[in-house]
Amino acid sequence: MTITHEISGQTALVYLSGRIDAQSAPGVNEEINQIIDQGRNRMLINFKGLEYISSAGLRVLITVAKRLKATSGKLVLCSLEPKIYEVFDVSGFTAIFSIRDTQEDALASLDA
Amino acid sequence: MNKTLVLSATLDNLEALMAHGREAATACGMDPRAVQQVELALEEVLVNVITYAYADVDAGTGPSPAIELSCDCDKGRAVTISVADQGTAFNPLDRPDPDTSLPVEKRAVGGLGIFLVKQMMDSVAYRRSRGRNVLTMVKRCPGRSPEPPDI
Repeated sequence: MTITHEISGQTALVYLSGRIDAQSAPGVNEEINQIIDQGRNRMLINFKGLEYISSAGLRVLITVAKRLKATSGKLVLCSLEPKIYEVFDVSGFTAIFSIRDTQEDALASLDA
Repeated sequence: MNKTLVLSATLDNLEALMAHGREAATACGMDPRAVQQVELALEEVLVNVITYAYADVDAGTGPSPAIELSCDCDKGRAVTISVADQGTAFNPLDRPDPDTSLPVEKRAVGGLGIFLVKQMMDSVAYRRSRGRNVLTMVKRCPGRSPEPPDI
């Protein structure tokens, strides 16, 4: 599981790759929350390299989404592979998360 | 063909247990996407057992906190996976499914694990047998239809 991020203007761009399971989810949770602690509440999470996500990872995302929503922040997800999108869809997450195919579209949606 | 792996119920063993399930599903002829669905369902069940099954059990006098993972391939038609533990009696299927139509502020953080198991597998069943919780899941190999049983 690899998580990297960069700051672009007001937005934190987070890149996930590998697998998020019960063992790696806590690390992802910590890193994303640290980014928010540093004052970033506009966030894009790019899933391009992510091959697997279980409920542990989904829990991290819902907790992050709640936290950002509570501070009137914005969160957009992009570049989900079909098998990852399927897990989101089955869980009802495609209805509650803003999801775009590309990072470009995702960034545009944050400005909208 | 049945393969059973018994390991102690700790997070450190999660990967080994999941690999066992992955290998069994692959050896049974499942395509990578179906294998990953099996893997996801298996992780959810294993994490539940690791987190909860032995939480109330006395480490000194209770049963050894092990997970028994059995994988069976039905002639390339379906994979059956059983996860057994000797922990407190608990049927994870008793819990109601999460409401997946709620908005983000109202979504419960937990409850997704067993729900995903039910989505990814064709059948899931629980029984309590000889002091063990046994959860059995079956996934048909995509594209295969069940044949009539041998008489």
